[in-house]
Amino acid sequence: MAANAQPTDAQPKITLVSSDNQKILVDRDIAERSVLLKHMIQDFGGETPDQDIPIHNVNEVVLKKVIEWCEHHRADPPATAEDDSDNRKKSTDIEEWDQKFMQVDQEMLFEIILAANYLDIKPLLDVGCKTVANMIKGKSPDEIRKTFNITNDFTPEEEDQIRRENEWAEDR
Amino acid sequence: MEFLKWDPLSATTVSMRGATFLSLPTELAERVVENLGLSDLCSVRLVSQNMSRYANRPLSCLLKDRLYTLHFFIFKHDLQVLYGLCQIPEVRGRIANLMINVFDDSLLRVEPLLYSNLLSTDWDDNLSRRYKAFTGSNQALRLLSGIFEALHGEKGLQSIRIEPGAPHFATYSWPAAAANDFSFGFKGLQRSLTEALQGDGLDQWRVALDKYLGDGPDH
Repeated sequence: MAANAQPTDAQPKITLVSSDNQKILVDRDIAERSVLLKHMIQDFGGETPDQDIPIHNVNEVVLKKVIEWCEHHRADPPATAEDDSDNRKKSTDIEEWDQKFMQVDQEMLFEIILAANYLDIKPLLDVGCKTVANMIKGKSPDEIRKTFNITNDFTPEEEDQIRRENEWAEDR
Repeated sequence: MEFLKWDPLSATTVSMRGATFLSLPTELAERVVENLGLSDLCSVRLVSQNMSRYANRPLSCLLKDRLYTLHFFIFKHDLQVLYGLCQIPEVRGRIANLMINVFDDSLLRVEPLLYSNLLSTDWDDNLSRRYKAFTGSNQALRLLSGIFEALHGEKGLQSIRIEPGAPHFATYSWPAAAANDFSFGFKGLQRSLTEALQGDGLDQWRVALDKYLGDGPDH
């Protein structure tokens, strides 16, 4: 789902400060896509804070990328607990804009996932996780290792054990 | 509310440190693999020790659901047990797949008197007599009717299959029976699957199915 709402000059602004000490001015409704920031703002009694809000765990490049996603999805309905428990398991379909948004290098992809988790933006976290899952789908163990640069640390006996377990599981 | 004074030097910065799949916290790595199906989860388990751990819990949850398959044979005892189970909402709501084997699917469409040539001569005479007596009594159809009536509208039910088959093929794929398969010596998967089943109250499924004998609806 994409946003139609446009930012206006009348929108209250919030200043976020990235981990590398860069200030980024965002509309309050965009900042509130983050449950973490929404709760922080609520702690001000609902008033738009005039203080800068430090985002300790996210640097400027990643934070700007996250804000870009929030701007596009600013009019989306907020995520519900039901979305979190059921829907995300049912499909790895990702809408076109999000697919393009996630066409970044792996390091940025995982940074976005970490930032979405820290800022508590579940729909973005969901898109990130589905993107990684799609990179795994249909691949052999060796192809997955190459994709994510993972070393096979199994002994031959352990690998044999897992193969037998997998055979049992696939028979179910 | 006042924010703590931010000291960039003391901040735990996760960005620009070369984030990789394996640098994700366990809950996020698991969240990724939760999106995968059974065969992909099995592939992930073969990648590395860590990846295997990430895949175990989602795989166990997937397997747990598949274990709620009941496989019965059309004998008086089997159908009485199944009928009895279907009268218990907690059990009925858990049944995902039901497979019922019949010697011959004619059971479902013929009158009792037409059963005379139903059975193969290779089968045990006593078994044949019991089967004939039961299916010819109309009690089988009455029990089946009661079973289908009880299961009607259960949202978790994915399939009911009625197939020809011999009694020795009939097995219970219920969690209690599946747990016995662990005598293979499985370790990694065993723990997470056992935990997943315990989350469903595995112990209550270990009771003998005989406890739930039912005689079918009154007619």
